[in-house]
Amino acid sequence: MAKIIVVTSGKGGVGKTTTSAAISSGLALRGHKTAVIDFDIGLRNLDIVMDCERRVVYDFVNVINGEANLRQALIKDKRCENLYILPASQTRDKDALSQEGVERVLKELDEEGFEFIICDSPAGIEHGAFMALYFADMAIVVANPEVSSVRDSDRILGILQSKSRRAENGGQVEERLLLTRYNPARVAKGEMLGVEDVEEILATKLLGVIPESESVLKASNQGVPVIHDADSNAGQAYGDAVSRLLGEEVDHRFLSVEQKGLLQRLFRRSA
Amino acid sequence: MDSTQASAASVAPSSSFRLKGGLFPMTLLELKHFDAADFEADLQNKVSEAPAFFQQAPVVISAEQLQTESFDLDSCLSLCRQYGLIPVALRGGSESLQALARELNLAQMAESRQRGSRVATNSGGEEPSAMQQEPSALQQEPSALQQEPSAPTDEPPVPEQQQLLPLDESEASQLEVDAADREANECVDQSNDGVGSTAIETPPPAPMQSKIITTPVRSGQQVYAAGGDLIVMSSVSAGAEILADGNIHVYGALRGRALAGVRGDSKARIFCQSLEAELISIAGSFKLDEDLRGELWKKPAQASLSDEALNITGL
Ligand SMILES: Nc1ncnc2c1ncn2[C@@H]1O[C@H](COP(=O)(O)OP(=O)(O)OP(=O)(O)O)[C@@H](O)[C@H]1O
Ligand SMILES: [Mg+2]
Repeated sequence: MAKIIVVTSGKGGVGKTTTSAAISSGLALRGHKTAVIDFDIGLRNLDIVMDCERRVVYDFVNVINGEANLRQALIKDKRCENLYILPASQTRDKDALSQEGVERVLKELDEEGFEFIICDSPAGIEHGAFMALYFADMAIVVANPEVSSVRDSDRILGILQSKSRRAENGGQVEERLLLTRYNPARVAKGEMLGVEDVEEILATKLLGVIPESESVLKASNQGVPVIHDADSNAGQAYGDAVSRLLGEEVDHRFLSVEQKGLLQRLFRRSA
Repeated sequence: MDSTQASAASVAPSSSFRLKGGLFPMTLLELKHFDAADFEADLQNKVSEAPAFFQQAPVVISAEQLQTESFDLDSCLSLCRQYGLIPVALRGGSESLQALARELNLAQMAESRQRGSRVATNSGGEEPSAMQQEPSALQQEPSALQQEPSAPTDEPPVPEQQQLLPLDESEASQLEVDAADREANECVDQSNDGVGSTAIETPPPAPMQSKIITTPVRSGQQVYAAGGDLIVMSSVSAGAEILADGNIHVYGALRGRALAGVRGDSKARIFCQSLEAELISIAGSFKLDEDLRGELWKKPAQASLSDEALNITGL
């Protein structure tokens, strides 16, 4: 069975699309057949971040409406053998996503042998975001280290555990917290929340901490998911997150201003 | 003749719906006097104290304590609606007022049997007692909806004691309501939907029951333990709201709003592992976070009420 993972946040602009592109690429690079779906109907920026904008002929809504079949709409990624993108429609509104339609597309992807389906959620807690999370087995909740973002993540976690299909059937959606745009210098100055604070408030398993990095902007402008930039700390941090997603134990990096040794880091985290 | 009698006695089960008795906790808005501007200001205050609590909450307007013969019921209703309340019924009031209520599509609720004494037993301070969460029954009036004794339902008819409005505060009737509310409480979901609409099926008389929540109560969620204690084995986020008719225990950080004794039990207490609450209220007496940020902030603490003063002490 394909594992359906929603990348969600509540608050906008925190790095969901960046994360969806990076994580789906990372999974594909490790040999897992992965699809990434853009649920942000009307805006469409996943295809830009993944540089396949000009190859979009049919989109998610076309497939839902039966105007195209799934294979016609899926775009094969340029860089990863196992990665396919299902772009959003730029012309429709978000209500074009019907629950039955979304379910059918997910089922077809599963039948096509996809191992992971990454759903890039729009911001907010309205229809589009709800559709993106409803069928999820796991949620990667993206938050920035600031109070309003953490509050929205908390809210999304509550919705996940009460309104998703799993919750409705008495189960639970697996939760993972991904803290992005983390700036240790500003944390040290008290301008941003620290990892421990956020972990404490959200009481959710930490998938990773992605540092604030210029390489992210550069990568998205070039249409290359930042995970391909192995020299950048953000790219490495996303690589670590993918490893953890696949069950490996990897230490968290880039949490403090200068690169500290493992012992110091352990000391800091338990302090 | 036999056949006609039989068909008259056994009311055919309706296919599109089924009538059941239901007991739901409802808020009673007891008017002391009515002046639109004052009322709006007070309403605004109440709603800002506990926004989630009042979202789409059904209320019964009580005119029993009102000194005047009539008042502007129409604007009272529209103000209620404006602030997210859904007025469903009028209790008490003069004949003309009741006629007006019928015109405005309000249901009629039987009057309290203990006129006057309620105010004395229930007032937890002047201001907060104006609006109390009260058990109130929504059910078929025997006269309005005939429940044939021989009606072939798979549900036994609502027991007699439930037909009584549990409006007096005596221990005995309280207990009956508690048992019923426990059921109603099953349909209070964790998000903001408030009290659901599942009907209650023959509640057995049972002791007060607590509601146990094992997962975090997140921002935007509301949990209400009707008729008993609420135990949260995790933390309660800022922006979340927990309510109980009895005590509240939080075995984690309490960062949201906690309201114990919401039906007026001044002996209710709130316990938490780490006091970081936005609001703490017992039987209507409350403290906001600015009043709570003292020595016990972020420490294990309990709140209790004595002489209408809310005390916070360490654990
Ligand atoms: N780790 C990072 N360091 C620096 N900039 C980042 C980082 N992550 C994301 N950004 C930038 O933040 C902006 C928003 O990112 P992104 O589009 O991924 O967010 P989003 O959550 O998908 O937004 P929306 O809610 O609008 O869909 C982009 O300009 C992106 O380049
Ligand atoms: Mg996005």
